[in-house]
Amino acid sequence: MFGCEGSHDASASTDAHVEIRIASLSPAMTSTLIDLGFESELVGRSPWCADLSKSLPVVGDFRDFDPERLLLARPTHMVLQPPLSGINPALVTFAEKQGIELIAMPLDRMQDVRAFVARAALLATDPSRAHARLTALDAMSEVDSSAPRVIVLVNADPMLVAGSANYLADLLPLVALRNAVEREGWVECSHESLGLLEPDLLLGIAEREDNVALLQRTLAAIPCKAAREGRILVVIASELLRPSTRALDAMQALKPAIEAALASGKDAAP
Amino acid sequence: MKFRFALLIAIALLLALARLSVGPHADAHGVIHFGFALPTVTTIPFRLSAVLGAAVIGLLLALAGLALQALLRNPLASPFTLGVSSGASFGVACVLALAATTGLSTHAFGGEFTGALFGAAFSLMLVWILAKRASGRDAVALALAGVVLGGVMSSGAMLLEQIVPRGLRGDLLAWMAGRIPELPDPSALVALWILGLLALIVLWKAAHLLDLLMLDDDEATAAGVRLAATRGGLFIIGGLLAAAAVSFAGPIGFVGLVAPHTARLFIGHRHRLLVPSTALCGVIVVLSADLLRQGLDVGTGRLPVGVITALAGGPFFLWLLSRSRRGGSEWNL
Amino acid sequence: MEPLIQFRSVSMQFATRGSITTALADIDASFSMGSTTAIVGANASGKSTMLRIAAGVLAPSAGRVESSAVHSALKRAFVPQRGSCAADFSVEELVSLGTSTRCAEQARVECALDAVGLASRRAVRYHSLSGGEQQRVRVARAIAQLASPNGSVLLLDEPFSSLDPAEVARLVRALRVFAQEGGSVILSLHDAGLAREVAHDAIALRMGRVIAHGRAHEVLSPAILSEVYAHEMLEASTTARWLRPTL
Repeated sequence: MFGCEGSHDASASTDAHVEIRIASLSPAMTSTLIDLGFESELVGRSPWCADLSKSLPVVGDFRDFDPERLLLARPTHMVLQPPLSGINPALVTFAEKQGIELIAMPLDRMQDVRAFVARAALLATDPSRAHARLTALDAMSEVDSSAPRVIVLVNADPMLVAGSANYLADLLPLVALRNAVEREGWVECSHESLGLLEPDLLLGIAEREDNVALLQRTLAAIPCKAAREGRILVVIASELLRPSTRALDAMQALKPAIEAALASGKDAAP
Repeated sequence: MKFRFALLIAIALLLALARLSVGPHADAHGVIHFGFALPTVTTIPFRLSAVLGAAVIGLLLALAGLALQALLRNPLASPFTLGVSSGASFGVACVLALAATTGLSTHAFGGEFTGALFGAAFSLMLVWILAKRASGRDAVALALAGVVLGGVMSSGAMLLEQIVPRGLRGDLLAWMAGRIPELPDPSALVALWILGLLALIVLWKAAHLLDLLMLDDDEATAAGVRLAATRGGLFIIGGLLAAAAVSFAGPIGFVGLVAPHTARLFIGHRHRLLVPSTALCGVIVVLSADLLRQGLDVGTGRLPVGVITALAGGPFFLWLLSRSRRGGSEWNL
Repeated sequence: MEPLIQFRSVSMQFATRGSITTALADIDASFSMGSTTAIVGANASGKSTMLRIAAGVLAPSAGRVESSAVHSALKRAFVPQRGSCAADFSVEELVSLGTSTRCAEQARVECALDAVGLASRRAVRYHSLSGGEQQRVRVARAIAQLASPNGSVLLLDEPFSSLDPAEVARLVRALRVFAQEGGSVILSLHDAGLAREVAHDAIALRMGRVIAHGRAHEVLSPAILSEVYAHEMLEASTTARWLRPTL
């Protein structure tokens, strides 16, 4: 092992000549890995990895793991987001014994996603896709302090919005918006507290079709000018709900809709 | 009776063997199925530690239930119904939350076991006071108080869950479902087995005292039972066992209730046979639940063992409750 | 006759809801070996308290109890008034509680079952027995607990309460068998007539004090009895009758 971790220099790829088999215990990482072209290398999943075939064995989640199914899946690498209370020490010992490389990385910000892509690039036989993603991630512009302010709601009950220091907030410059919420991480809040922020746009992100109406209603009930003027946009974009490289495309795809929502609101204003 | 006791041993051994000989296996195309799969050199340690982990949890919870039932002379007592498990969970949640907010490791606060112990002792103390007030006559009233206490403790844990950073919430929740840890630390497993077997021996040696505790206090005292010491001992054993089980596997419900009553159905009420039979029934209950969850895949991987024991134990508890409400003797099963 | 248990200036006070109740006040009394002694008195006269102190299950707040038997479970056994049982034992199981599987102890269980006439009902569940049978089972358990009737004492708290006459007769017979084998019996009683029937000696209590102490036929004379129950009579005359249906 002479490759230096974190570098995405193509020549540094060391694991590429051996067979790569990956077990993913994180749906977000699964999403990024599929995006980078690793779909056929994935041999184990978590219960929540919806993008993968149901026939792939469930080998564990962020806390629990199934040693026997892991043994049968014979992964060479295992990827997971470590829980705040730390990785299960039994999993660490197990991986060590079985010679499985454990790749545990937090995915709170887009820079974390970038670090994961850089790590994954080392496993790829053809790292060009990963490098393209890294370039795109690096090209993301800084927050424009004059951009319209947005509230990004991801769950209606309880009301959960993306705060600062959150991958969704990091993605907002792609659509020329900035986050109206200043508290860090994911924030649970009430209609009133969100109304006080007086955002320019209310954005709801739904996982499925059936969540749309509720998100729409919740956003419309926020006591603020944007809601009254109808500057509300609810989209179905499950990719945006996971910190992965696919979230980049998903966000960019929203650009026309967001511009329209901002404009329609202005037109509707008396 | 001896035959029935031997039967219990046989069932426990059979279940252990079954758990050792089923598991996932891959077919020629590499697709993984579940079913009969003899252990190999690589899989035997996993299956063995799963059997030992499940069995010790059953042992601890069953004996804790029996100790609490003798302590309170109440057939509805168990770590779960008295809120002792919830108290222990709350204690563990406190330790996890403290560790998360201060950024220190849980060991800085004595580890999860200390939290569980304090929480269990606190709940048990409250239940004990309530039992004294109710003079221990109305079994259902005390069980109800325990359920309420358990609810309060769970809410406390939920409150902590709101306070801790969001990333930790799922962690706490997952813990509260009750899981037997995969590949537990061998030293923890050994410690639990030592604790469980010691408790088994102590309770078995004290079987004649437990028998006499079923009589009136004066009668038992005159027959040579030192009530304060005996009840103190049962209090400590019940609390310690429940705390140990909860800190290891989370609050696995109803084992402490189902095991002693099943043993009574099988063996009768004399503690000389009831103590070891209860231990065996506890082992049987948790082993069966663990075995069931291995094969039961609803597309999301294996279910937590606590879900299965609660699904099976809940109706059992309701049945007990309806029996004791009908006015007959609650112990007359 | 040699004294079995001796009370020397024994007092007992209970604290209930902030106030202090005196159950026994400065009692001097002795129970003789090998005899049957009845403690008689009205409700709340301190009978049960005296019995429990004699049994050694309650420590007096003042005074001393001297006894050759009180410290050993093999020498004294207690039968509570309408005892409860928190497990569903069979008759035989309940009688053998606390004993080991040794032959000698099993023989004691057999003797005790015979003494109370329940040997044929040994396999029946305790909770399915009638009140009188349950009471006899409890007495049998107490007898089985003792190493031998000779030199031992059996203490019974209101053993005949709520028993029908036939059951009373059976229990009295069992106690006589025990006494004939050299056992001492101390029992608290509400009913003076029954006390005259079963006891050699008697102690009459009134509001926590001994007002008479000696041979049963002397103590249970009409003059003393009217004094013993005077309190209760007085109370009965000032209380609506339906409140005290037992009188």
